[in-house]
Amino acid sequence: MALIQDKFRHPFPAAVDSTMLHAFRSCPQQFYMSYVRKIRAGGTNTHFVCGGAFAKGLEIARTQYANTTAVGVPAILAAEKAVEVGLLALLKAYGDHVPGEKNKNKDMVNTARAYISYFDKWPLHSDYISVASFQGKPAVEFTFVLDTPIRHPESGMPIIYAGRLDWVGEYNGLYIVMDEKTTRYFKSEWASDWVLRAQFTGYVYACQQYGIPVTGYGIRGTALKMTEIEHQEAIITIPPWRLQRWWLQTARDIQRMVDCWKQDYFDFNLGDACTSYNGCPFTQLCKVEDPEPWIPAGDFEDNTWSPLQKEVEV
Amino acid sequence: MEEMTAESVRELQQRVLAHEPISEEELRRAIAYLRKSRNAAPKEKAPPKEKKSKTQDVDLLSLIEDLREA
Repeated sequence: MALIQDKFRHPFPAAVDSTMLHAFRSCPQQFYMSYVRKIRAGGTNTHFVCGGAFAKGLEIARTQYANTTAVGVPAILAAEKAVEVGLLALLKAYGDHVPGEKNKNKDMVNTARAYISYFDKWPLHSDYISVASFQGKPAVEFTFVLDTPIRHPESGMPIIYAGRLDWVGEYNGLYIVMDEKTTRYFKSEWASDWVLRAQFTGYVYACQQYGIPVTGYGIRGTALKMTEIEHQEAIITIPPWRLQRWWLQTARDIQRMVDCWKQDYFDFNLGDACTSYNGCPFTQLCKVEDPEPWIPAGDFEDNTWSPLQKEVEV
Repeated sequence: MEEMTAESVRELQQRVLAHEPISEEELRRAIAYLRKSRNAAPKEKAPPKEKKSKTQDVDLLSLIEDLREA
């Protein structure tokens, strides 16, 4: 069997997250290129810039609000100041990026509009989902790592499942993991599309492993259109059996990753994964028999993904 | 107070990136602009006020009819 990989064995990652699992499930070869071979398409991705800056603004505003109200600043004043501080963080995080014509809806000004609109829709001082506090600290940008039962093919250590979630909210006495998503527009089934999403099931599972009694998750979506900003929300609870199934499936998928690495062969989807979203960035490499010489010649750059990096929906 | 525009928000951002000080007043004006401009297009297309009062009349008539039936 002809192998597409180069002769040098790139190391298997020590930690895996939901983004990596998502890539592997859709196409093992895409997982290989992104997280083992560690390359990505060159240029800046507007979706990541916009989503990252938007998330940074919200994170800083929420933290600022929680910290200032904790020392007695009146809620409405604290909220106003927090939105200002968050906006500064967003402007910094967006940087000099200028999107192409196709993604103008996610330019800096519209991203800032979306941020302001978000806090008009869900004001910090009167949001029905408040930021939960644990041991006196607001549960904002919570990072977790879990040992999986799968051994690393080189070190023999447990492969880590890691992630970073936006915040934990308190809603009618229940704790839920909260996440923000930006999009171009809302599909008709937007809210129900999140029901089985592994990323959030993993967040709930992880929180419970950390002793945080989370029962579900909430997604707050913001659609950045050229002419208006829209918001939607979905709140989903998860029964314990689905958490257990998610953990089992995650372990099975990580085992398959390891098997591919050991066999030095990562399977190809050769189907929808090649064209979905904006198309797989590696399709050019899959069109040639030996892709390795094409990597330096193509529009690719080295990229080491950190599982603790903020995940952004595109 | 001079109103901001998209261009002035971009200029403000360049100053943020250059680590120049930004006053609270400027931030508030930027927020006011962003808030005002976020749904500019749909607001222009909003139905005229007369139509709204017509709807209120219809609601009132339905209410009277409901009360008569009751």
